[in-house]
Amino acid sequence: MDLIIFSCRARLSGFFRHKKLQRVSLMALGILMAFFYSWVFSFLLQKAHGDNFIPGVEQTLEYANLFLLAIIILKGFFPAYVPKAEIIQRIFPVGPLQKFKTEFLVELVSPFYFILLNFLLFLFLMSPAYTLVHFLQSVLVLLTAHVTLRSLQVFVERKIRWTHSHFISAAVMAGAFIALQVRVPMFKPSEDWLMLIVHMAALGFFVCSNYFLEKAATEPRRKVVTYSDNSRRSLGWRLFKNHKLAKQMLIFGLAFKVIILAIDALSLSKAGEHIFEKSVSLWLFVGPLVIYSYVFNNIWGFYRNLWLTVERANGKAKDFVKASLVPLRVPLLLDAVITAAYVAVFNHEQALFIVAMYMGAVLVLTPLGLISSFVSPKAVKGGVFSFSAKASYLFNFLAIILFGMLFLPLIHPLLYLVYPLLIGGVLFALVAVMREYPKYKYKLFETLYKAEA
Amino acid sequence: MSIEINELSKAFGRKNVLQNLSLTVEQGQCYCLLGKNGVGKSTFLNCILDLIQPDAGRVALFGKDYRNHSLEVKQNLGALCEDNPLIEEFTGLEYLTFVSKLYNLSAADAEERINSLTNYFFTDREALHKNIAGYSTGMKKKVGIAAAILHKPQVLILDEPFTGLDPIAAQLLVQLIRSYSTPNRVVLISSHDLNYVEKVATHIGVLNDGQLMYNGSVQEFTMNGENLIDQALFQLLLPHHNTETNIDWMLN
Repeated sequence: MDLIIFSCRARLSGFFRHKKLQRVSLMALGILMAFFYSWVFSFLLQKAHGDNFIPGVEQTLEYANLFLLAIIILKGFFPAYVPKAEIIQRIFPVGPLQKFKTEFLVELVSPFYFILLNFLLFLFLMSPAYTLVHFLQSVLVLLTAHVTLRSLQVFVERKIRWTHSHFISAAVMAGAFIALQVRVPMFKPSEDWLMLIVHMAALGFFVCSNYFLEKAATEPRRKVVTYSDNSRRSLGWRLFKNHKLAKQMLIFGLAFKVIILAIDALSLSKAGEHIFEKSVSLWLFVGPLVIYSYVFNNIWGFYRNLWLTVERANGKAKDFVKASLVPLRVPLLLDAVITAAYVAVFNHEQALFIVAMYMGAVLVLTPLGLISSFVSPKAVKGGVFSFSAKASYLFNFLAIILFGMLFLPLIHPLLYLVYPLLIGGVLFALVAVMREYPKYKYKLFETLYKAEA
Repeated sequence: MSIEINELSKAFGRKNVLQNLSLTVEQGQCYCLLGKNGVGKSTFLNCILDLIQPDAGRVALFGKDYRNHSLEVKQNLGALCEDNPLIEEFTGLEYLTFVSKLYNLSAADAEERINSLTNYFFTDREALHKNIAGYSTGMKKKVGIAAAILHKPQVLILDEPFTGLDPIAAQLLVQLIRSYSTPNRVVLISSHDLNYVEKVATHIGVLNDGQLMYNGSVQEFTMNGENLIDQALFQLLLPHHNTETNIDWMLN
């Protein structure tokens, strides 16, 4: 217990030791957002309770739980993959159960979970329809999402002994969790205390499954670079193929995009309508979001040596731009092919918007990414949409705002007029910034190589 | 005997990194593992540390293996790993206190040892109150070394301990390893810094092609001081290598 308390306290103080004002402000903003969202949900619940408003109370609560589930799992993979925090290394004489307990609890001590908990608490205080049982159920959903994320991280990072008894135990426990959840999933709100006990039991099985899975996992997967020896392939292709981590993350991101588009296609064929019409936020996945969060702004994380090579060769701004664009080519092509196939087969009616938005996003986000690399260089491990400490907050917000503005034509077609303004604006800014490159390149070096920590 | 390795094999894909490697390191020895880049020195140490599972073979420390006595073995083992994984959100002092708790040291013992080790290695103690994320490679290494010896392990394994250290810190580490190597302890080091190896090693192992090419005392290796370690190593690994012919183009 002493170890757990000490670790939690140290982790907590670690968050606020540096850039205190910035971190406290972000936390305050997070709590404010939690308050705002809980107010929105309580307003919806009130409306649903009073009128025959759609969605109803149950459905609104279900959405709140699904929102929790999705945001926690996705945060581990978007905008960039977040590695599992291995707090207790395997060389230390700590039993697996103690290690699991400590790591599990310490991981929960984070501003992110604190803000989510605030959201639930505010909702509980504001809305009479959101009862104590609902609140506890949402906490269980939060924990389930956390365990799911941990399990996925283990699969991504470690080799698994598939035939070992630990893995079989993990599979059996996961089976028990699924069996209990199949009929009444945890995210479906219930006022029945007995159901809460069932969900707690299910979570218990899932936690056990996660514990056994960690025991079944052995050494980390080797981050080997498999060199493509085919010299006829382009540098862009080889950069993509050779970097295992970049490739894995990209494949994961593209697979996620394909799943979203496939669900939409399924919805179209079954119900005759697109899911995008109901859930506008999913439109994001039709754009090149994955590429710009996983690849382009990770160039400085993955391919920073490419920049140094170019810089040592002749150090021209144009070559710097070229070097930055090389890794973007192949992934962007893959993404564009997926989008084009989706538009051609399942969504002709929105083809104009999708194509225009896609091209607009490429033309806005590419120069913006370059400007970000010039003006505020970071050894970025997250992406444009990342809020990790190593990314530029300013450019994150700018990217989100500019990308968001590309969706304005959904409101009225006349708003396509925004596109040339946005594209022209960022291109103009890029040219202006490139002229300053000779001065900025020293800062770039410092950030990428010297002041990385 | 202290460290006993029998018929250890490990392959990554089609590449056999270690092939039926056997080695015994006795108490009182400071054994230095040498070899070219990528021959498997770190893989070998990671197998001893149970971080990598060997395909075949057995590792035993003081007659006990990980399979049956995992916690006991780890309690008597201190290690600095190749990638030196520290918790970056912690300060140096917090990390060392955290490690002391993992080894169940009493608060008084932990405080005394942490103070003594940090005084030994760090002139700027202020830095120890900052997040490890902001440390230089050398500072991180010093914290890693302090964490490895905090609990006075009987077996100390250091993977590339001198890399990244400034000459003063490296010299301090040499002194520390020498003082640490008492007759009831074992120190196993992998390093490329032969100047420092020469100062601490009692025994040397040269790893090549997955096997130990040489395993014996330093005196024997250097032919009783006739050669320096680097000369002896060069002769062993590249006996017929003519460097001049390969770099002719540079001369014109």
